[in-house]
Amino acid sequence: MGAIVDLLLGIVTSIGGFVEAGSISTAAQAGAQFGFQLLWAIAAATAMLAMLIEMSGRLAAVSQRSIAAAVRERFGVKFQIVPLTGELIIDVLLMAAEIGGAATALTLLTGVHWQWFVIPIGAAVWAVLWWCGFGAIEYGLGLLGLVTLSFVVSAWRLQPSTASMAASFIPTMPTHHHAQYGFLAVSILGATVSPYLLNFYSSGSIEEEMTEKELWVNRTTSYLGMCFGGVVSMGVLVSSAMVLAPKHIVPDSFEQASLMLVPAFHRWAVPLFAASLGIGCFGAAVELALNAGYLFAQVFGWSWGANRPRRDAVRFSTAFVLVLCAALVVASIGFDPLRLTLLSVAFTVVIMPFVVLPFLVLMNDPTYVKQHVSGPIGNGLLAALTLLGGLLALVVIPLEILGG
Amino acid sequence: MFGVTRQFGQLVAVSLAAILAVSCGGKASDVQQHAEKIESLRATAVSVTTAWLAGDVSGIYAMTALERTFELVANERDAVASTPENLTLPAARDALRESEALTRTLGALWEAVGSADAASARRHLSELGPASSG
Repeated sequence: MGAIVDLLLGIVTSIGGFVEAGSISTAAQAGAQFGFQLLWAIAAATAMLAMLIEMSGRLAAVSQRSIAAAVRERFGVKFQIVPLTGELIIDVLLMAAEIGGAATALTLLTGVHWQWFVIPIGAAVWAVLWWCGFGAIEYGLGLLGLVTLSFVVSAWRLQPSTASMAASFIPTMPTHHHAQYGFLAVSILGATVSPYLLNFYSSGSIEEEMTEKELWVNRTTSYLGMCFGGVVSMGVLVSSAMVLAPKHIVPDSFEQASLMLVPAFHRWAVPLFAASLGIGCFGAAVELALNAGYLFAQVFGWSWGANRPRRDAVRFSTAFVLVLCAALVVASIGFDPLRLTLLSVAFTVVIMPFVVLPFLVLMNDPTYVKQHVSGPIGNGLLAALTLLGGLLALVVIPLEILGG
Repeated sequence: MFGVTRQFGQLVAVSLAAILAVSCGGKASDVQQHAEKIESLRATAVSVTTAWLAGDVSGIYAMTALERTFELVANERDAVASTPENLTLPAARDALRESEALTRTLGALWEAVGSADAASARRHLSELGPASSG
């Protein structure tokens, strides 16, 4: 009975925690510029994420190690410096973008400039991290995040052509703006498969004391939760394609993006968009900060755990507070939250091979996963997509920056 | 899945070609991009004001969105007028004219929403044309 409750809670919170600044902004831009044409990118990225998340949980349940701890043990601390540095830089940028997104959500409701909310939101993130255990963070924020289902309801109410949507799951080249199409495909991949999620999920599995016997729970939660979560991202893309694209509105701000919910929800549209954006971004900021603490503690061998009293894990707590402060500094500079989000998620894809490839090696090492090693097809596809994504990101990011 | 992999390969090739195109003097395409953004911002102003007039969005939201749109139009105008070379292009001069007219109308709309003057908002809205220009 306990496992069933865990399973349902895991699936529901995966849906609620799926959408944040990155997925909203990339899906909104994709829908506004290319209609349904980039639905395949969300589907491919979601499938990739589900596979990686399932592997993270499997590694944690079988070896009782998180990814960062296992990589340190298998390859040594020196090897880990590059992925650790890259992941921390991206974590700080993403956290700044998420805090900016949550602040913009409050601006939509109050009219007060978003920069006034940066420090209060940082304080709220700190308070949650300081006083809440892992369960409260994961399940509480995940359940609140169910408000993001409003994007799916919006898409359903707009009655899109199912034939057109189905056709969009096969990749096709656009007739215009090829570079922007490539950049958005990369950004969707980066927004969906954030490397922090992998270590966060494996660390969470250890916090929740998942064992080898619960691998079926892990598998079901990963695949169902992520697939349903992907549907929420698709809801954003479809709503944007149905509402913003016909009006030739390409959202360069969250204020513009919020218009996508107006035909479906009228006077509730902006509050629902703000709640979805605010809760999604706040939850992601908390997870990013916590993951930064996990990373430092696991790489340097400190004691860690969101469920431990903070005085028993002082260096872990100090690490997440310092990374949160760094993100607040970046957010306070005043970069446009949406542009910072788009660039951060695109850069994520550049560091992805450094995080994913060592992880794939671990997943084929019986020392860590015993008889539960990954199959060659899954490994090959993940490795190929990770490398191609990284290569494509290296091409389209300079192009996007050069082209403004 | 292999189709997706092939598609990524094609995207890399096309993007490389696009980088070359951009670096080999893409001033006209730059201006075209700015013109498209200005058009998108014009449509945003129309949609926000229409939604406010219909009672679908609050005055606070409408003013925030119009102010943000104003800032983005100003950014585009500055970008178009950033080099003398740009201003030799007729398309750039058109974009500049349109952005200046749009900022004036946005200012007027912001004031109309702030004072809850629906008649004035409707009058200025008509200056912007329909939300979609087809």
